[in-house]
Amino acid sequence: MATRRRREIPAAGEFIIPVAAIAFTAYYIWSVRDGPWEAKFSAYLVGTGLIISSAIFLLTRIWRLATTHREPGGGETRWWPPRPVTLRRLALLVLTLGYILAIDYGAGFTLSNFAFLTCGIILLSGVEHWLRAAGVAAALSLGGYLLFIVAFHTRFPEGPFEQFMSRLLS
Amino acid sequence: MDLPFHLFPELFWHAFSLWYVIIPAVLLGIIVGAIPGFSAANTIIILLPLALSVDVETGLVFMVALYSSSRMGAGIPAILVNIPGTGGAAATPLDGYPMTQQGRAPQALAMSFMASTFGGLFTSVVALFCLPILTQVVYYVHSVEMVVIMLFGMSLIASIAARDPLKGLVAGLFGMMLGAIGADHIYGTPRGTMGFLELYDGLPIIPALVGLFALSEAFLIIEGESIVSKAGRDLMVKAGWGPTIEGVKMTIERWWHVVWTSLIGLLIGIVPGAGAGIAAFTAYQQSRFFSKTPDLYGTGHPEGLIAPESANNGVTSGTLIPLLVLGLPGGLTAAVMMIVLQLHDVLLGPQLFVEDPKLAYGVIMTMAVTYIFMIPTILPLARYMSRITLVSTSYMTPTILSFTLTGAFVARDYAFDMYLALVFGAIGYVARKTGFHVAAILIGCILGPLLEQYLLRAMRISEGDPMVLFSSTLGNVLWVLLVVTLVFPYLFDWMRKRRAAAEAGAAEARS
Repeated sequence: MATRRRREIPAAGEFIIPVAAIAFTAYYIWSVRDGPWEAKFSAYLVGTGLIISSAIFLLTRIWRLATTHREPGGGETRWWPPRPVTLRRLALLVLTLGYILAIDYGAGFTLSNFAFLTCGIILLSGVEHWLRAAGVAAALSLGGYLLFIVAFHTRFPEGPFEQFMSRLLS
Repeated sequence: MDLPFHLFPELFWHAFSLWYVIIPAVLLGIIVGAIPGFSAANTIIILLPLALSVDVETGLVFMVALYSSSRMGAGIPAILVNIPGTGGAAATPLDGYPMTQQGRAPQALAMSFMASTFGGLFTSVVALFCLPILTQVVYYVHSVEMVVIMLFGMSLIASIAARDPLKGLVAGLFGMMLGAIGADHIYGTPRGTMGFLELYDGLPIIPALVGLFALSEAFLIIEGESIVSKAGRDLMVKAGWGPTIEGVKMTIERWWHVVWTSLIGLLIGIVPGAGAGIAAFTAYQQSRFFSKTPDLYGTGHPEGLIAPESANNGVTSGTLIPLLVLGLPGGLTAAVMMIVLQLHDVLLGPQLFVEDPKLAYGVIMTMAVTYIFMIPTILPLARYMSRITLVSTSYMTPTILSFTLTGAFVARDYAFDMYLALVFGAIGYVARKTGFHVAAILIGCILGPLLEQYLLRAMRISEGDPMVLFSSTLGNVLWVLLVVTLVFPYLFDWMRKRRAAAEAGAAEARS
């Protein structure tokens, strides 16, 4: 028993996937409530299994948390990293979202890619490497432009760079 | 259908003489296969004007070479950065990526190339010589048998989540539930779409794959300086050609493994709509089942890498059989190839083998020759490609993010898919951090809709009688094999533990 008490307890992060799964299944079942049985098939068959298995999982974990000593802040499945990495990760997430929004709202692939890569590399390697970051980002963005847009005709929303190049090339 | 054996040598040398078409197509195929979101089908569509401007034979050789090599290319990012290029390579990182983390990337790539090449070459030859027999598979495998084949693939979840089966079950079922998003197969009722029109066609696999594997991986690797361990890094820096040659040797030593797992791919590939994903998962699961060291799977075990790579290249040969013999495309790329052939006024079906046997058999022979060309083209690159794993994560992470998000867009040209990839990235990140296997979620996403489709079809044919699932001889044989596959590992494990306990007890009594 003493050994069991010393064992690290999984962090609450373990609850996220089962809770999300139950929530999504509930929504899915609601979305097909008026449909024919063929449409409900997955919802009832898989959904029931998912809710039952998630519930068993949650109950066993809650039971374990309730019956053993909890060591705060960590565990064998600790899902939050040390603080500086967390901040960098959050910043990168914001940058990534910004990158998608920039492509979606008219900055175009090449400029968005250049800005994202430059900022991303600076964020992770330090501002002192800004020149190298910009150089790598420029090379990769131009390579991406040639590969995706010129060679494979990918239909990204066009930005100023793509419009300029298409006028230049035509 | 009599086989014109006298034509085969002529067809072989003729295909060989088209090296100037095959080699560029192989290189292009490897590139498009390695970029998530790009596929041979997309590329052929883009290059349609080129395929139509040349004669039918050259166009066909180009398409076949591109198709075969793209399958191999998809395994490269799966091994090096844990990002499968296509759903067919989703089982490759299970053992390929751990090898990379241990500094064995050149070895893993060499094994992947060899397994892909020999798997593809072997199945092409089998397809060539057994065409009349293999065609029968299409007639014998129906919805019921496909349901059991899908369950074979899904049983892999039990294997990869052996340490915590409940987590595996939750992850797999969650994946199936996500995979069931979209209009239902019969009446088109929207289900779980949250009002997004972009989800009415079903959950797009590429954004799911990009999110679960690539984005989550990118956000994880920033914790370290490199994706390779310190010891692995030292190993990689010192490595010359040795690991590549060792990888080649290890695959040759396991030639039997390549043979039977590629045959699984061939047989599954023949069934229209089955695809490379199910073949790779099934082959991996079967490889683990028959292995003497199943516990090593998932830790960088060579056979765990060989099995999915051989199988997904076996599928490539398989998909051509229903296309050529029956005019039924076995997959998306085969469908695009069919359109190109029809635009060239080539009528597919049994008549093709009577009217133009050189073209009909020439397609499969070209595939065999393509695989022969692949080895000298790609194998020397294994050593250099693997150096990418030494790049600092400061540069690697933003590059992975930008290029894979681009790949998520490219598959359907929807900006929505990039947001969707980000959502799946969040799911993948949390799943990895909390011990839920992302591969289990992806298996659910890929196989769930297919399982539903075949199950519904079987149920409708039988007017709702579930006993239809046990109504065919082949289906019943597959059910028995499935039960054996699921039960025997636990039985063997129990027997092994019992024997060990008895031996320990006897040793204690002696002392």
